[in-house]
Amino acid sequence: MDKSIHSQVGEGFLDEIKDDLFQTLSWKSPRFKLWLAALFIIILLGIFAYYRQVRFGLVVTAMRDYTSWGIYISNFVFFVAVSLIGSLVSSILKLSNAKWSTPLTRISEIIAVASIICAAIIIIVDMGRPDRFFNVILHGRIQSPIIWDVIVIFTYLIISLLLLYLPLIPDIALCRDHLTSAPGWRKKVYRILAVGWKSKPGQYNIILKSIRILGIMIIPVAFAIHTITSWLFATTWRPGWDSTNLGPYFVSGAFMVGSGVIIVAMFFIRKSMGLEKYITEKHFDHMGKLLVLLSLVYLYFNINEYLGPAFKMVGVEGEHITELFTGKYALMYWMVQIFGLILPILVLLPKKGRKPFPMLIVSFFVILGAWFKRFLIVIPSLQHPYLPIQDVDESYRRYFPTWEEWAICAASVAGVLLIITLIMKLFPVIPMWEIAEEKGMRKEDIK
Amino acid sequence: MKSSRKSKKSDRREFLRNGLALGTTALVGAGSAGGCSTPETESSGEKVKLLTTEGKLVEVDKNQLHHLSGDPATRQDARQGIPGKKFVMVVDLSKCKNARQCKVACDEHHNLTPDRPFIKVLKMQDNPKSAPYWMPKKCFQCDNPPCVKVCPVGATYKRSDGIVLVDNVRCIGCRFCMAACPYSSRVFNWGKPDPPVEKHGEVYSPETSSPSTIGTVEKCDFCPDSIRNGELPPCIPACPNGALYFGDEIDDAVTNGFETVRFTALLREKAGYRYLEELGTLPRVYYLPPSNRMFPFEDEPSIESGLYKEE
Amino acid sequence: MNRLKNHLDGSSIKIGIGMILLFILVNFELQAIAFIQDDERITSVIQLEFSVEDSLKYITAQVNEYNLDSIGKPIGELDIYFYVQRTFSQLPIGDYFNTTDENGEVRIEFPHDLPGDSAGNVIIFARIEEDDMFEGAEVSGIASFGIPLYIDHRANKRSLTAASANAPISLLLLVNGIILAVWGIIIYIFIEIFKIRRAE
Repeated sequence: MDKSIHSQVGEGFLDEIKDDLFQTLSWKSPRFKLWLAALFIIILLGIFAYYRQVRFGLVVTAMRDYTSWGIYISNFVFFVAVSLIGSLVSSILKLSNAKWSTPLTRISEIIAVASIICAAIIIIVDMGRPDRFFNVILHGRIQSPIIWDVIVIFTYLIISLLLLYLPLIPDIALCRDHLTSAPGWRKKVYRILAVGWKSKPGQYNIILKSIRILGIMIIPVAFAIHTITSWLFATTWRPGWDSTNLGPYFVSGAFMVGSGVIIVAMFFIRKSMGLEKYITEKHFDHMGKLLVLLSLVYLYFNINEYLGPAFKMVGVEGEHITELFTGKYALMYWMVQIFGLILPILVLLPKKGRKPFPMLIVSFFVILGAWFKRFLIVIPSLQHPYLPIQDVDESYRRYFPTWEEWAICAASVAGVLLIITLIMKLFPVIPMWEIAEEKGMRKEDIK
Repeated sequence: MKSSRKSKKSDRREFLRNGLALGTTALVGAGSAGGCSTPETESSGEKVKLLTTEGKLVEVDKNQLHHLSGDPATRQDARQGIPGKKFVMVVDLSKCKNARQCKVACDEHHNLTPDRPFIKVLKMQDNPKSAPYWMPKKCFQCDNPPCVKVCPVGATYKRSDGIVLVDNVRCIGCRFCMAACPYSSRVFNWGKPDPPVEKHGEVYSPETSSPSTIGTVEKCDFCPDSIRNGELPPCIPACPNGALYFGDEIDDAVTNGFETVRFTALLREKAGYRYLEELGTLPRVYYLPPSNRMFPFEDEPSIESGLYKEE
Repeated sequence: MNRLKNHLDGSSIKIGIGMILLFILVNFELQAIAFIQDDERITSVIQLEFSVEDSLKYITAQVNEYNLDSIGKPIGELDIYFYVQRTFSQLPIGDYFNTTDENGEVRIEFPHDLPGDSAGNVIIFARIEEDDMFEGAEVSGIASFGIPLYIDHRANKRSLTAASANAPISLLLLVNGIILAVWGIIIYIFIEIFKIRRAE
């Protein structure tokens, strides 16, 4: 069969793509091993801290009767927020035909899956009696927001896994067919997961249809997952939590921090894996504009969240707002708002700011700011109950996490990074067949 | 309850009196008690008055009693309330002098350490110009309890007799109930509980909230174990000032160990209110305002109870 | 509790003080006290009668002396205390002072809005508190004067605060509907994945 010139050129590109991506899957580089070692050390430290927690109880944390939720919960909210990036890039952007986002779809789904898995792990860590975990399934009460959260997190995880896996199948087939130097177990994995992929049109139909359906479905589920997580707070009477604005506030913040995470990922992946050709400066430019837009939306919800209570200064709400604006938490609050919210808008508006390195720095601030913002959402509200805190030990009035809490949170972050690393080292991080198709190849010829 | 004083004199007189009282009871009872079931034969001479599960009052011979009342209910049975009752508490803030004996009695009854009290006596001041007062606060056993709504496993539940209990065998320690309670009523066993008294072989019942287990939540439970014995929760008679009243809303009577008054009359006459009524939790603990106090407000506890120093 | 304790100790203290004073002072009044101290008190008996007139419920108590197994003369000017049995204690009913007239009778009105058991029965006590002249006596009776008990079956109703099995229908429909819809699609996708191997 005569191949068009277009197709021949495309084939050339495919070879180039294969070379570029397959070399990222080698496990031999010393930098990779060092990275794994560092992650393992952090995770081991976290496991030891958790052992201490299981042995002695939650008393090893700094949580006490008033501040009964701590950084485990704020970390959980943070991870759920980050996981929304999957829906943003591989669904919203894809559905709106933003072709530039194609190389980023897989990274975003990997981050989403890793984040959600570690969110589930950290919430189990926070339980006082993890040995009774199955009570949640056996005796679950459908009236409880926690049960809704469990259901929606599990659903989102499955959909994200499917959205990671389905577009991956053609690339797995490429690995199966061309990665001859891979060890035996990896070859087996590729063969099984490729489910007999032969680049046939019927097969493409199936996965393209499925991807489209899931892409549409994941948007409401993504909104639901973070809104339901916000209902863990909005269904109570704590100052700062008792807000009707909490759902949109959380979701908009989630999209923003997700963008920050993906920018950091973009920077390091292109650097360490030599993929500058696929993650170009144009991509940084686009993501920068997206981040500015999301920051502006988040800024809008921030203003809404704080103006109402600050205007009225009702009772404990007034005390809480005062503490955030000018009191104990003022330094953290303003640092978070300025460096984590205003700074990205200011730096990324001019075109010069949307270069890879400045964006990396800004994204670090966004991520750090987002983590501390969730700390500010969870902890100060618990320190202002309606009834005065009296006759208790000094330690009940303050909350500064213990080393066990920090270790476990660090381990959870390391866990996210580990999952991301392992997936990226097993499967090509850029969707090869989609790039090849964009370069002009016919789908059936991608083998 | 002691109802007749014993004379130190003749036993014969006492026997006569008792016998006469019973006889009169039987006479009068037979004459006017329409719906009551008659006592069975095989009398032991002692009658006990009981409430049946339909809420009917019957008099049975003491021999008829099997295992009823006395033992706190098992975990399954604890989910059913004591039938025909709706327990309620009234706190007279004009009488509370911060004696903290309620807290001492409660800590002893539930074997608690001072850092996890079920009862907190708080110094409250409604506004800068009014006088401070002491407010004993425990779990309000709300009729619309936010803690029950949010529990993911149903470890905390509302019973038909109004009491909200915690089943510490099912609790997973997520502490959502603690976040949801606007009154900060709940305490958590962060570490391994270190009870002041070692009670070996104590069987757990949600009605006693004892023994405590690590990683679970606890709170005031209105002492159903005492109630089943016909006794008031220990905090009520412990108050030397008679500030705490306890009783049954359906019975329409509350008592503080000294006097018994009609519940509705008490609230009406003394303008009883509920704390943070506007939240819609419908508490079952009512407060009587701290007006017409006969004593000035004192900041120090009037009886030392070994608490942390207040700031 | 304290009042009871005080009262019990009162008599022994009185005896002690009386004897001391007798030695110290010879006085007609003190002798009178000493005289009453070691005398016997009169036994009494109360009989209760329940009646309804013009839809008002009355309890009548008849107090007589009780001598050697026979009912003696009525006792007038005596305070009788009426109580109705409640869950933990006895609720006083009647007026503040219920004093017998010269026939030894006193009548009180039973409150019209006091609940009883499910059949409306209440246990009523009438008591003579221990007195210098008369010994304590008590009688109890059951009358159908109470308002029948209302048992609230709210515990079994569907609500957000109920057990899992009693969730509101709307919540059940909503959550299960959404789960079915979403997971239906997910399962469909899984089935499609299995079809890939054989697709053309």
